[in-house]
Amino acid sequence: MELLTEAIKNLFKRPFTEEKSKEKDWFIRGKLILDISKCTGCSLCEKVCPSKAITMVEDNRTKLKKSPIIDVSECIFCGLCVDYCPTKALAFTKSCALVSYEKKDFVKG
Amino acid sequence: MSSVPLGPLHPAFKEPINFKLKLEGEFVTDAEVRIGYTHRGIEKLGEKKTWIQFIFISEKICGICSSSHQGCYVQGVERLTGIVPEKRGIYIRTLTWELERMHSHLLWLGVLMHEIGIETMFMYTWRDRERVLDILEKLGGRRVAYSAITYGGARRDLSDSLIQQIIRLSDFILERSKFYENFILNDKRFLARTKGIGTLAKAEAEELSVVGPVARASGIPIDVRKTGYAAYYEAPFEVVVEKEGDVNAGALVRAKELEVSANIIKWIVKNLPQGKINVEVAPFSKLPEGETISRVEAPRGELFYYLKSNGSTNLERIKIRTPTLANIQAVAHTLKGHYLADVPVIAAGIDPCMGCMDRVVTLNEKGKKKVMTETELIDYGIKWYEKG
Amino acid sequence: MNVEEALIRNGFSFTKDKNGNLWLDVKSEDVTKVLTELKTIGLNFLSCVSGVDCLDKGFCLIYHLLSLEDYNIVVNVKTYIGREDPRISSVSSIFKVAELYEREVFDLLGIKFIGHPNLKRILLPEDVPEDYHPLRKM
Repeated sequence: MELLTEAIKNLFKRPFTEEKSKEKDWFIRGKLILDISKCTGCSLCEKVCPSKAITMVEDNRTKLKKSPIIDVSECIFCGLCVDYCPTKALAFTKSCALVSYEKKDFVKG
Repeated sequence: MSSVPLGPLHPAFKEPINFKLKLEGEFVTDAEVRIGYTHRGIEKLGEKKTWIQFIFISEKICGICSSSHQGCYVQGVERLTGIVPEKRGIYIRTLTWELERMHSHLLWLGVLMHEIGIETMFMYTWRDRERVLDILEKLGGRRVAYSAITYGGARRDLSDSLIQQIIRLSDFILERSKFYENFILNDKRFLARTKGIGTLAKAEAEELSVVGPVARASGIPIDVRKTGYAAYYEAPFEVVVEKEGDVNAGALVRAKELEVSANIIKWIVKNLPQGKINVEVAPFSKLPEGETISRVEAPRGELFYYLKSNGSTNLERIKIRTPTLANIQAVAHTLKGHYLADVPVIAAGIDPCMGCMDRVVTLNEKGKKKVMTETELIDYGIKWYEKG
Repeated sequence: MNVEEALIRNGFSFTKDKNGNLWLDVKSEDVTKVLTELKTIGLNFLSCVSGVDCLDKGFCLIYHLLSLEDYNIVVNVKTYIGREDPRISSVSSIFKVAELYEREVFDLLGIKFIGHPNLKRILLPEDVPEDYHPLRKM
């Protein structure tokens, strides 16, 4: 019974290990995020990527001919695409939790 | 007379390596090393990627001395193109190297204590190391592959609050290194397991061309930082040398180097120049033709890169000689005449890093990709062992 | 000890690059002789042996030497070997550490070192086909 009350109490407590991203000047190279409205479809990010994590595909997300898709499971978080993106459409987020049961969760537009 | 294989997977080693030991009772009479269990073909990969992409692949060679590899490679490329890197960038680069040396030495001290069986000390060193890693994460954005170095300097600038934190950290490490030195010199359990174990005399060390802390523990005052690359041509520091050449002397050298690193860091932060931090470069720029060598003092010793360019966007050849490869023969040599129980301590004594050493996973046999399933791999392994 | 002066005194000709490192060109037959001489004048530390596939020029081997007294300057001894059945005499009797470096070159480029005590594959598994050397370009 004691155990059960403890468990219920813990449900409402905040997490013991705080996320690092909460600290203000803590720069983290987390998952990549693509602002599709800024993208010009130049495919420079695909060419500079050392691990071929970015591929240009034809789809109807935008009016562009081709737009990038990022496979986070292949990404080595070097940030070359972020550095070289001419319109700053790509950016790092602070999320580092790369856990999933399925590969398709890692692939995103 | 019996023969005992130790490894490739053995609780005493943190990474895969194989020792073939010949035993006479409890004593080792002969040892042979077999490496290559983590060969990843990075040298070959370097020929296929552009030189800018390889900056970020080079740091994946080793998880502990990642920025030494990156810095050494970038330094070589800068020598090929002949640019002068930005001064502030160079200082931040040196700062990263010294922080890395701190965390590597603390990690190694912890591993040695773990091999000996002093678990409390292992916890202490790794707790201190975590503080260094936090700073490195703030500097580069990741705990292990910081990517803090790039062409012409450093990648990210230091903020004022980070500088304050770095000063606090170096004071903390200065204080702790005294504690470690005291422990290494006086703790009875530690002395019993390390004093006179794995002794490498100075003449032998010269003969075997060992590098880094192993050489300095044997009395050879070699430290590539004294050649004055990056900010080391200005930063004042002294080379730590010990005479005994055993594991204890190695531990003492590294504990004292913590202090040296902390002092260098304090000097760099105090004398940090203003200005730009790196040089911008077009994504597919070509390298001029030529060849060059680049050396830096990684935490484990002299790291050596040979680069050859043929005037295209890719490098023609990248040759990497890591410190562990130079030191591993010394382990096989010093094992002779010791108890079998001392083998892990001696092997840990040179601070081995197999990922560094092998660097080159699946073998593509002339274009045919060969991927094995789990059962195939188990069958293959059984056959391999029956054969040999 | 001044490496440059010592080299001139012993009659070696070399070129100097802009970083102060010295490059010597020698014939492949003379490598053992030259390295023995260099060791006696004080270059007693073998830093690395690099092998490069230079396509039509054959294979290039570079021995990087240091002096422990003055390790600012690296002396690079460079030699070319023909593509057909590349072999060269081993320097492992002069520098013990060369044993490992030469095995690595043999493994990745397939250059045979005559007189090497234990010339086997070091990085790749033993059951790789004998004529397969990953760093060869043709």
